[in-house]
Amino acid sequence: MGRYILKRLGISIIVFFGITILAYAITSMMPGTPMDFVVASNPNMSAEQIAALTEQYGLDKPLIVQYFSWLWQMLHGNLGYSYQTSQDVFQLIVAKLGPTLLLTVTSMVIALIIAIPLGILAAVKPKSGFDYISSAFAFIGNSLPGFFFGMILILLVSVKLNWLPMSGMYTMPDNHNFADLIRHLILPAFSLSLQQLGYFMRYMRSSMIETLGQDFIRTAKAKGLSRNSIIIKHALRNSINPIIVNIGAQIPFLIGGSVVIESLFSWPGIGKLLTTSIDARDYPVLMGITIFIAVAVLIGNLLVDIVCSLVDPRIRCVSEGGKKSGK
Amino acid sequence: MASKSKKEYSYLRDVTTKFCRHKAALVGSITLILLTLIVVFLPMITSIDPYTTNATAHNAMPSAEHLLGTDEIGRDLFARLIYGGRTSLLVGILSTLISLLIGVPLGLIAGYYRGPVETFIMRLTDVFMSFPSMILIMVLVAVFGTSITSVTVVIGITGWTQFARLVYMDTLSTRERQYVEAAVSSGVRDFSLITKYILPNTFSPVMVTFTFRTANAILTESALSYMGYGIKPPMASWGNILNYAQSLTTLTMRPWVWIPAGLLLLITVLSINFIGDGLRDALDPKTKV
Repeated sequence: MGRYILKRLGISIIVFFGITILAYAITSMMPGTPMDFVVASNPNMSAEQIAALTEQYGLDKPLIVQYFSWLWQMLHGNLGYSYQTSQDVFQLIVAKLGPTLLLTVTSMVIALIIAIPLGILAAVKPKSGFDYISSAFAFIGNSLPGFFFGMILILLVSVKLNWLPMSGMYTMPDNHNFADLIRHLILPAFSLSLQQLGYFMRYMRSSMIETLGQDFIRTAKAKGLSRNSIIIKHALRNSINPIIVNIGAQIPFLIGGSVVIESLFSWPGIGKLLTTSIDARDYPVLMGITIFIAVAVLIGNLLVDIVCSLVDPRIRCVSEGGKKSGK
Repeated sequence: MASKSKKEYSYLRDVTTKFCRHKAALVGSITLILLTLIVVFLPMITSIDPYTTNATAHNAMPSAEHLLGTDEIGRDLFARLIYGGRTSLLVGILSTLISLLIGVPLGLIAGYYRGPVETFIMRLTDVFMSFPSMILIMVLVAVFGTSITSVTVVIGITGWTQFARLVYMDTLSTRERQYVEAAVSSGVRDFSLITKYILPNTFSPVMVTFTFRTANAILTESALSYMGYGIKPPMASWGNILNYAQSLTTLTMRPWVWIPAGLLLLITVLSINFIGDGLRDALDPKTKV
């Protein structure tokens, strides 16, 4: 057990360095050096001043030295400063984290609440009418772009029916009212949950069918247990673990999707920060977001794996051979 | 594999029969073929033109002249829808091909040679999988530009991990097979061993992944172009037709502008996903009777 966790931890540390190297490589490919921006904001600088600043920032050093000093800064929570506002990138990201977490977690919960029961029902009666309808539903959920679904929701629910607001987090910027927040949350959360919903529904169905074919279920049936008690007490526990492991693998897709949904609904989260930073070519913020999210995903996956290995020792063998990825 | 029937067993025939029995996959294939024929050949046989601006018809309503109306500078939206289909399909297929060409060799090498190479490649997939691909793609496109080539390459180079993992796992189990052992002991060299004995075994899972990845790449391109970070006008793509709806009046008052593009996107991706599902059922040796 301890060995497994240690091994997982070791791999994560290696992957963390990989993430920083890749991110740094991308940063160094970006057009324009940091000095260009310093010079742009202060056109009267002399050549000596520029040279002095270049030396002070370490920009004359070899790339590898620059990488390590950047890494050192980053490990201290310094992700650099925004070209646009000169604010600390880390703080900018943390400030936008709340809305994104609220949106992604809500949509994941919606997806699971709908997908798990539907997946079970479909698995209990495979090839029934219900199974076909729910499969079709899952396929459509998987294939319909979330933002297009969101646009249709805006058209129908916000504009035609005027039931729910179509953008932002609050009606009034200063009046933070919980009911208002929920009203603003519903449409973006549903749009975002669509893809996860289809995925988890099909996954739950196949996982459940697999469990129902196992010997201990036959034993339970032979003991004369009722079907409901077999499904709820025996089969569900065993078939839900792969779902939990896959929540971790779905996090990157969820965050990626939330960028698009935030753009559609003007939701003030990380996605919005990302798009405004791209528009302004604000590279430190772009890189900060990329690294921050990659590391968050890495830690998230590590935690999910450890928790699952504690709950269900069989999972360890699964992730040894490489965990099943999302789609 | 040999069948007891009088007819000689054919894997291809077996797969085709199974695939055709999967109704959704059959419907998906027919739909996708029809759609491809339309977007490829319709511009050749008619005179639709997605680029020319019509000064007398800005934001025109649908009419006999412009089936879906025109955009704000008078370009014909029906023509853009058809040309957009070309772009979306092309980007989807080419970028997935790039992913395949990166992922399959890496997976083969990792699975065959094991050791440090294996560790390096598998950790590299972990690194790539930690980045939400949408964010990585947006940042890379911001760096390399929004041309169709750049978008295709960026989607391609961020999507190879699934191929690598799949081929890796397959190679791990294949190299333990006796026929591989026999080939090794008879002195077959590494390169031909990998390409002739191991690679063909990965065909089915790679095909299935290819279809699902293509569906995904089409969705990614459309989301990217919808946000205005992908393929930009004058070139048309379904994503940038949906981008017209960034304007609230278009979103709410002129739904004929963007709904067709979204529906075609749904139909295309759904068809490809059905095909992938059918292929998985048909190619999976476990379900063979």
